Amino acid sequence: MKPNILSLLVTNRFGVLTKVTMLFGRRGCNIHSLTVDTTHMPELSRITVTVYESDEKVVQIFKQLKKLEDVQEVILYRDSGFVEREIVLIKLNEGLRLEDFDFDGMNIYINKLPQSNGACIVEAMGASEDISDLINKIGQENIFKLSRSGCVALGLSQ
Amino acid sequence: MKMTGAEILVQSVIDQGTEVVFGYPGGSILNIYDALYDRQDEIRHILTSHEQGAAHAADGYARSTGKTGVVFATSGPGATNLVTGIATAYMDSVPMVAVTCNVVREFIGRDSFQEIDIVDISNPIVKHNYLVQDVNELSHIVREAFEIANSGRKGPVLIDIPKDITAEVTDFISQPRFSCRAAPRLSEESLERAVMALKTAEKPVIYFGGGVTFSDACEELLKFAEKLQIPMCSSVMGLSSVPADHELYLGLVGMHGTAAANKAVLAADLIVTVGARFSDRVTGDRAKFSENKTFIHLDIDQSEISKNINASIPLICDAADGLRQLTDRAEYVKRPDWMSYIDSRKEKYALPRPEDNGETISARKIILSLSDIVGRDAIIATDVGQHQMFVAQYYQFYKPRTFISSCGLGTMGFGMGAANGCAVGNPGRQVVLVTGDGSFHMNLQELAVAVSNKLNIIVLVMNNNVLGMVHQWQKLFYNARYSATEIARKTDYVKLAEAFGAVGMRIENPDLAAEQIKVAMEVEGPVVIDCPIDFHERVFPIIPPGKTGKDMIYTDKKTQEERS
Repeated sequence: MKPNILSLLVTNRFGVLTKVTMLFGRRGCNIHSLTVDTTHMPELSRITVTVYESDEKVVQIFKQLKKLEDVQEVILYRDSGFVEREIVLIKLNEGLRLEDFDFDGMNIYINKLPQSNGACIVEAMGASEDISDLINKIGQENIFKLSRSGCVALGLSQ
Repeated sequence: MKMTGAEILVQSVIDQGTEVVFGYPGGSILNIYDALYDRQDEIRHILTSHEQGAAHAADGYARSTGKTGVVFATSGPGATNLVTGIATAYMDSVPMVAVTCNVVREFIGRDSFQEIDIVDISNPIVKHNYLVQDVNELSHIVREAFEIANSGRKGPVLIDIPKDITAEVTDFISQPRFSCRAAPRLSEESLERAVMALKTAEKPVIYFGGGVTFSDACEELLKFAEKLQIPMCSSVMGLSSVPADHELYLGLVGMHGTAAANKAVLAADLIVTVGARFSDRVTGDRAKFSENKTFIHLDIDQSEISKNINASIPLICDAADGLRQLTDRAEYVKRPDWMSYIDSRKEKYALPRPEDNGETISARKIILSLSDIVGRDAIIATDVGQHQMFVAQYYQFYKPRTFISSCGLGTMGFGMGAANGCAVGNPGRQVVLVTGDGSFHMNLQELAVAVSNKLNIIVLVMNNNVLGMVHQWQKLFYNARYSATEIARKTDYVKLAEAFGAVGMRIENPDLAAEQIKVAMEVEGPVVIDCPIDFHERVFPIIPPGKTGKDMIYTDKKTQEERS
C-alpha cells in the first residue's frame, strides 16, 4: 500500500497538534509518522503526517482538516509530484561497526557519528522507502535501538 | 478605557449583539457575574436549574430566533455539564458561544478544586475553542468566536477563561460587530452540470435538511421546486422549512418517514440534496440507497460532499444563493408520468388518520389537534423518542423555525431547556413542549426556570409508562424482551407541576383534550398536561436500521407487507 502524506501549515500555538491528530484517531486511522516544527515564519508550524489508509478515509480526513480554524493549508501528497525525506539514528549492537555492512548501491546518505561509550551510532538520511531498506539491510538482529524522525515532504512544483 | 477582563467579556458579548445569556454562576466565573450585575439593563441573564439546561436553552433560543445562543458556566462540573448541550448544538449546526471560566493559571494542571480541561474535552464537539492566555486578546477572541459560530456551516464555539484573566485590568479595545465570512462561489462548470442533470432527469426528487432554514433559503427552495415542479421531502432537521400542505411536499423521509417520500426517493433517478447530510436515519443501507441515482449535493460544508453518499455533482455554496442561481438557469421540463406516480403514492400512502379506541387517548390524534388549536405561529419543541416522531409525522408546520428538536444527537432531556430558550427569545408566542415521560424525567428541573420567568409553555407529557422508542425496538427486533424499558414511575405530573409553582392538568377524556389545551393557552406561565397514552401506539411506518424503503414496515400487524 502506498502512503498518503498530509502536509499542513498550522498556527504555532499550544493545543493545535491535539486538534489535528484527534481527527485521525477518531476515524480509526493510525498515524504512521508525524513531524512538527516551526517554519521560516515563526507564527506558523508545518505538520507532516504519513498514513497508510484507504483513499476514502484519507480524503475525508483531508476535508475535516481544512475545517480547523488553526489550519491554514493542507496538501495531500500521493504517488508523485513531491519529494519526501527522513532521518534515522541507529545504534548497533555491541562490537558492531559501520564497516561490517555493505551499503553499495544504496541511494542514501550514511554516516557514522563519533563514538561514545563504545557504541556505534549510524545516521542516515533519505527517502522513507530507502531508510526502511537500510534498516532491513542492517538486520533486526544487529540493531540495539533506533529512532526515525518521520517523513517531511514538499511539492516539486513552484 | 481601563477595564477588567470580566468587564471586557461582558462588553464584548454585548457588542456582538447578545441580548440574552443563559447560565449558572460558580466560583471561577464570579468576576463575570459581578460584571453582569452592572449591565442588567443591557443584557438579560436567565438562571437555569442546571448547566445542561442552560446549554439547551441557548440552543433553543438560537434555533427559534436565528441569533447566536450564548451560555455561561463555571469551571469543572459547570463546564462538563455543558458538554451534552454543546454536542447537541454541534450535531445540528446551531450557532452557539459557550463561555466557561477555569481556575487561575497558577492552579492549572495541579488538579485544583473544580479544575477541568474543558478545551480538550470539547475538541470533538465544537467548531473551535480558545483557552485565553492574554486579557488583551479577549475582545478579539469574542468577536472571532461569534464570527466562526455563524459563518459557513454554523456551530458552537467555546471560550475558556482562567479566573485571573477575568480580574486583570487593561485598556479595552472595542471590536466591531462580527460579520459572516464569505461563502464559496459556484463555478460556471458545476452550475452547468447541475442544470444539465436537472434537464435530463426523468424522476427527480428534492431532499432537504436543516441547512435550508439556517441559511434562510426557505423561499428560494419553494421557488426552485415550484418552477421545476420537483417533489420535495425533508429530513427531521428540515421540518417546518416548507408548509406542510404544499402540493409538492411529500413529508418526512427516512426511517420514520412517509411511505410516499421513501417510495419517491427509491424510484428517483436524480436526488437534489439541499443543506442535508445523508444521515443513516435517512439512507438506511447506503449502497442500496444510492443505486441507479445521480446526486446533486448542495451544501456549504465541503466535507459533507461524498462523506456518506458519493455526489457526482457537488455544489458547495450558501443554500439560498445556490438555489437562486439554479432557479434562474434551469428550465421546467414536463414529466407527467413521474408526477402522476408521485400523486398516486401520496394518495395511496397517506399517513393513517389516528382514531381513539374509546378507552385510551391517541398521542397522534392529540398532536394532530394541537396543530389546529395553537396556530401556525406556535413553536413546538420536542424531546427524543416516539413522541418526537409523532410530532414529525403528524404536526402540520407552516413557518420556519417552529420545530425545535435534537435530531442529530438525539438528546433525551433536550426539550424543557430548549422550550425555555424558545419562550425567552420569542415573547408573546405560544411555545409547546411535546415530551415523553422518559425524556421529561431527564431534565424536568428546568420547569422551575419557566415558572420563575413566567414563560408561556405548555408541556404535553406523553405518558405511557415505558421508554417507548426502545420498547418498540425491543418489540420489533428483540423478541419483546423488555429490558429496562418498563419504567413503573409513580410520578403525579399534576402535583409535580404544582410543586414547581406551575399549573398541572390531566387529560382523562379524549373528547375534552382540545378544550383543556385551549384553557392551558390562557394561563400565564407554564402548564404541564399529563397525557396518559397507550404504549401499544407505536411509530409506523418504520424502515428497520440498515434497510431501505423496500423493507418498510407499515403497521404493527402487517409487518413487511408490501402494499404496492
